[in-house]
Amino acid sequence: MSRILTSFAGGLKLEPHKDSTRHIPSRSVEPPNVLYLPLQQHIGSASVPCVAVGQRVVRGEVVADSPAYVGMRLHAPTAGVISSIGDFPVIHPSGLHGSCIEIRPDDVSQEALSVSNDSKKYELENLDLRTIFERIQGAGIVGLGGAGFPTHVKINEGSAQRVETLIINGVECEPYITCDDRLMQEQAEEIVAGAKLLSRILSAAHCIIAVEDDMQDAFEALNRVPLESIELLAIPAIYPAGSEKQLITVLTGMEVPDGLLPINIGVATVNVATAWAIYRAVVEDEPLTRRIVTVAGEISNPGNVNVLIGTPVQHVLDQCGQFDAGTHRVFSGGPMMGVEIHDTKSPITKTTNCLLVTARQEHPEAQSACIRCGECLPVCPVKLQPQQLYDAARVADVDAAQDLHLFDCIECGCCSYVCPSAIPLVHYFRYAKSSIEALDADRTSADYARGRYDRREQRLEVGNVTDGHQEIALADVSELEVGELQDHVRDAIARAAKRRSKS
Amino acid sequence: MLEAIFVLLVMIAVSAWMLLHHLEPERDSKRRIIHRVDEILPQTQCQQCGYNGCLPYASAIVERGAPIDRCPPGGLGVRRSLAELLGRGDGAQRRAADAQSLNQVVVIDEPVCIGCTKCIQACPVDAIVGAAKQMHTVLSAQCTGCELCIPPCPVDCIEVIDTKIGIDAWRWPRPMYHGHERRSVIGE
Repeated sequence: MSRILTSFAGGLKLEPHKDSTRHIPSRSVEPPNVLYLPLQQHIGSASVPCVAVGQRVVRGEVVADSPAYVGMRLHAPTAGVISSIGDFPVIHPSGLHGSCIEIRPDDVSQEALSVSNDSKKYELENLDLRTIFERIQGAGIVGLGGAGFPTHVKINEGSAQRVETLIINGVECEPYITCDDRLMQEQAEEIVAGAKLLSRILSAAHCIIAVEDDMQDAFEALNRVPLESIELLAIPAIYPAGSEKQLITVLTGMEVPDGLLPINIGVATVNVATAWAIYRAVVEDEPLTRRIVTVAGEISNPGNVNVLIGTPVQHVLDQCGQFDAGTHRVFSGGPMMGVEIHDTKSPITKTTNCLLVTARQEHPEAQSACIRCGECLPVCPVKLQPQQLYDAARVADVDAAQDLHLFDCIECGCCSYVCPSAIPLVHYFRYAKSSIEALDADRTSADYARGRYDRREQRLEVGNVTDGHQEIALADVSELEVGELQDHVRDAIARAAKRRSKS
Repeated sequence: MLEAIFVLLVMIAVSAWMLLHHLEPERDSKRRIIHRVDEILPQTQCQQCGYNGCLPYASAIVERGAPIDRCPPGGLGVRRSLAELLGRGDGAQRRAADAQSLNQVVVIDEPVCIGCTKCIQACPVDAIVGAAKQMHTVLSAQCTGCELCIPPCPVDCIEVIDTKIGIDAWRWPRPMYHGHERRSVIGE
C-alpha cells in the first residue's frame, strides 16, 4: 500500500547544516562530578523531591515523584549523595534559577536499579499491557522531541479513544539537529521494537515511522529491520514538517481542528527517541536517565553525545572542543526555536536535544517598521496572519489577538525568519500569549476571591445574630477611616521591619 | 367563538405579565450593572476605596454615583473598563496610586505568632487558618494581599511579600530591540 503524501501550508526550505554531525557515531561523555535535576522539565505540575539532603541514592532510584495526573518521576542518573535541594541555573528564556536536586556522584559504574520490583527482563511477546504501561510510567518517560509531555498520560488518553494511526516521528526538521537521525542509524532495531510496543498498547490500526527524505542512512538502517506491518516513509524536508500537527497533515491529509488534540481525530504521535526510551524501559527495565544530544555550530569537535540527564551544559561543551565564550553564545535547541542558555552551568534536561554554539552578532540588524509586504503570510504553517497578529500584539490588544487565533501559533519562527523589517514576530506573539495568560490567571483568582468573600459575608450575617464576639473583633478594622486604616498598615509594616532588623 | 375568547384571554394575560415585568426595570437593571461593575473590580477586598469590600463599592458606584477612581489595586485598567461600562470619562487617566501592585501576599512569621486569631477575623476572604493559642498560617493561594490583617496583629508578625518573582511567575516581556539573528545563523 502506498500512501499519498499531502503538503501543509507554508513552511520553508532551510539549509540543513546537518552533515557535520550526522555521520559521526555518537559518543559517551564522562560523567560530571555534579548533576542537577530540575524538578520542572516537562509539561505538567512540578515533581516533588522524595529524598533528603545527605541521603545516598543508587543509580535509577526515584528521587522525585508527582502526585498529579500530568506529572513525571525523576530518577538518579548515577549512584551518589543528594548534596542540596534548591534553586540552581536552568535552561529557561528568563535566565532565572529553578528548583533542582543536586547530586554528587560517587559510583558511576554501578548497575541501574530496575523500574519495576521483579526486575525480570521479559520477552516482548510475554508482556501484558498493564506491565508495559506501568513500566513506561515508572521510567519517567516524557516526549523527548522537545515538548516534554508525559508519555504515560498520552498513552492513557490514547487508549481511552480509538487510535487509527500511530506516527513515530523521526522528522527532525530544524537545522543542525541530528540526535534523532543518529539514534535511528544506531538503534533502529530497538526503535522499531518500541514502536511495536506502542502500537500494541494503543491498539493502533496503522503505524508509520516518518523520516525526512535527506536522512538516507537512517532510512536504510530502519529498512534493514523487519518492519512487519509498520510503514516507513520519507517525507519532503520542509521546515516545520516535524511539528506534530504539520506531520499529521503530511501523512494522513487530515488537519487537527482548532482547539482539539490529535487524539480527537484518531492520531497519536511519538518521537523516535521516546519510542527508544519506551523500549529501554519496558524490555530492559531501565529508567530514563540519559539521552542523545547534538552539539553543533561553531565548536571545534561537534557531534552527538550520550549524556546523563542533569549534566551541566559546560561539562558537555568541554568534551566537544573549544569555542570562545566571549564572542559566541549557546542555544538549547535549533536556530529557529531554540532558547539561549544564559548560564552554562544549567543542566541537560529530558527535552534538551541540541546545544548550538553560534557567534554573537556585533551589530544586529535593527528592527524597522512593518511595511505590510505580506511575506509572512505564505510561510505560516498554521495559516495565521502574522502581520495582523503583530499589530494586535504590539499594542497588547488581547481580544484582537485572540480573534486572530493567536493560540494556534506554534512559534516555529518562519515569519520572523522571512521578515524584511527584522521584526521579532514570534517574540511579540509569546509576549501576547503571556499577557493573556496573566490576565486570565488574575480573572480566575478574582472570581475565586469573590466567592470566598460572599460566603464569609453570608456566614457573618448568620453569626452576628448569635455571636457578638465576632462583631467586636471586626469593628477593630472596619470602623476606621480610610486614611487612618492606611496609616495603621504603614505603621505596622514599619514596626515589623524594625523588629526583624533587631533580631 | 370560544376559541377566540380563549386566545384573547391568553393575549391579555401575556401582555399583563410583560407590563408588570417592565414596571421594575430600574431595580433589576441596577442589580445587573452592580454585578458587572463587581466583575471588573479586582476582588482584593482591601477597602482602600473606603467601602467594606468590592461589592459594596460596586453598589456605591451604581446607586450613589461614587467616583470610579478609588481602586488602587485595579489601577488604570479597572478605571478604563469602568469608564467604558458606565460612560463616565472621568476615571480613565493615570494616577500616582497606580503604583500599588496586585502581586503580593502576606506571610506570618510563624515562630512569633501568639495565636490571637485577630488576623483570622480581619481576613475578608478566609485565607488565614489557625485556632486560639495555636500558630496561624496564610493560605497563599487564597490571599489577595489586601493588608487588612496587618494592623490588628498585636505582635507584628505579618509581612508582605512580592509574588511577581521566580521562574513560575515570569512572563515574556515586550520585545525591545532585536536583530534578525536567526537568518544570520543559518547563513543565507
